[in-house]
Amino acid sequence: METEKGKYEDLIRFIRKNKPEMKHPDIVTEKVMDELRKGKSGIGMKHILIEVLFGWIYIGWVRKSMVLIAVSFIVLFGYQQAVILKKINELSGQRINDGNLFMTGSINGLPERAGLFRLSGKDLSGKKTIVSKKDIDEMINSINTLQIKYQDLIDQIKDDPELKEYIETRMKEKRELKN
Amino acid sequence: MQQLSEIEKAIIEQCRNGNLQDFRKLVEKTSPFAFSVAFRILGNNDEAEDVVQETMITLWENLRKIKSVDGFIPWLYKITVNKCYDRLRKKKHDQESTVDDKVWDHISNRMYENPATDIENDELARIINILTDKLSVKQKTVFVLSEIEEMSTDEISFVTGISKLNIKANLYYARKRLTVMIQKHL
Repeated sequence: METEKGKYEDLIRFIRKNKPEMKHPDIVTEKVMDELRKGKSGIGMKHILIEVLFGWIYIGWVRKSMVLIAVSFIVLFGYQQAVILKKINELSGQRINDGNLFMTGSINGLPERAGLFRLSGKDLSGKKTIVSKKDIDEMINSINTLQIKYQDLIDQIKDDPELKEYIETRMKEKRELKN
Repeated sequence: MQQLSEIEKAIIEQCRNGNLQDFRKLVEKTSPFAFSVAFRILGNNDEAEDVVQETMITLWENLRKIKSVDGFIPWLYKITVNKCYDRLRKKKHDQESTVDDKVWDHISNRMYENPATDIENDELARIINILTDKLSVKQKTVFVLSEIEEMSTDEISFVTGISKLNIKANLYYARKRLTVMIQKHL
């Protein structure tokens, strides 16, 4: 192993000692100068133009500022996305579905909640539920109309015991059938 | 790494101001450094001269971007190594050379029997090619810069853009492979 190490070092020393020399240094220099002279008239102008237009990107503080701005935009975009997602989650939590109809708005009173309960066919929690005022008004009107019609019906059958009995029997049968 | 004299620094300052005549002097002074690195990495005289030419043109175009004159030599090496790197990567797919024992006998003879006589570029190129043929582009570059050009790890890291840890790993594998070759042939 020592011999290999020694040989390795000999070899490296041998290569280091023998420095390569350029065969035609003058020709290389001339070629470089020719290229640059050509460049000064044609490609050189293009280079200068690019330098003038975009040279500022090599200024340290400009480059750093641009990186900072780019990072800020990315952070802002991420924040915006997070806010949008949060809003979507909130809205989807507030949605009430009765099969076909989606309702949004604000509801507080018991009769209104009861109306919604009937529409949605689901239990409504005590949490704040959003429904539109127009829908609520329509629903309350419909309940009132129904109550008036029901009252009219009661008034009409009150004097006719047979009809009253018939209706009560039919309703009882229906309730039993439902249960 | 080579050091610049005060005169050379003054020449570079003039070149930074766009003086093309002074750039000729700079090319004459610095092209041997670039050639040495390019030749030892590429193992080919003509290609090394082409790289020097390309390096000098790139250097002129970007001379104003160098922050200070002290950074000139590392920058020169960086451009040279990058140009060599591109050529090596391209070449690696093109050719695959084979070496016979006669060549190794010749190297041994040159090393131990005629060490005083200078060898020609072509012969030196052949020796470098034989030694580094089985190395990857990275290993070859790191090996040449560290072992032959005697650059420090920091300097190699700047010139090649490879991390210090990676440089050490590449150098370790390059040395190991060369030791195996020496063990087998020399």
